[in-house]
Amino acid sequence: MFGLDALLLVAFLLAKAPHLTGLPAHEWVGIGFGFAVLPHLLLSWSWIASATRGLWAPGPLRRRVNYALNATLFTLTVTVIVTGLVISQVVLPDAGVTTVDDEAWRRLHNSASTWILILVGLHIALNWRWIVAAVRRHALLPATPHE
Amino acid sequence: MSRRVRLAPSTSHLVRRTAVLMVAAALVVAGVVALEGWPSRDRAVRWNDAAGFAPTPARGSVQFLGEAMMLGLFAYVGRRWLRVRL
Repeated sequence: MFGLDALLLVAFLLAKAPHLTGLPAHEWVGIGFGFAVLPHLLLSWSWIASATRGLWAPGPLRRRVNYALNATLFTLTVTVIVTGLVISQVVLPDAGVTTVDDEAWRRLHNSASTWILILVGLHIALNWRWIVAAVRRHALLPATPHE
Repeated sequence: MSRRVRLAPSTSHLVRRTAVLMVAAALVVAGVVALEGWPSRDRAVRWNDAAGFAPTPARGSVQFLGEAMMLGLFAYVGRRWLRVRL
């Protein structure tokens, strides 16, 4: 899970820097990010299921805010990936798929990718303790060999 | 010893959960189409992004670090002032 999340973070930042990667790599990284989000969500399934079931049950507001934040992040992620595919100028046309560089979809792609940065920041803030513990476990305290 | 990570308890769970996520994604796409309409050639722009985003190490590095710093800033603000935490 930690490795996948670290990969998602790097891919996210690379996708946000097309002047560094160039357009073809930007599109490939975006597509790869879309595929990597799926296992990220599947590995978080127990939380998704319990939070969805408990959405209307009495409980702390914090839980609903957390759910709303993650649902919005999912919506923005799907929006950025799908609009990115629709306005693709390299990867899909090279694969023989006709795309349309629709101005409205392009505007939505750009604005959603701006908002997603804020949401990912809050997502990191929300899971900060887990991230710090995971970094300590995986990066700072490498596994000791077992006999 | 490495712990084996499983995406779901069984293949049927995996298929069902993936299907749920695909349906959720399809709903989002339906919302986008309802908001913007289907992509249309009438609204097509003729921008050459491949040329516009030609990789430039200096500008690209600034953009990458800028985005990373903004991400860190939003995480910090979320944690420090908005007290967004589990």
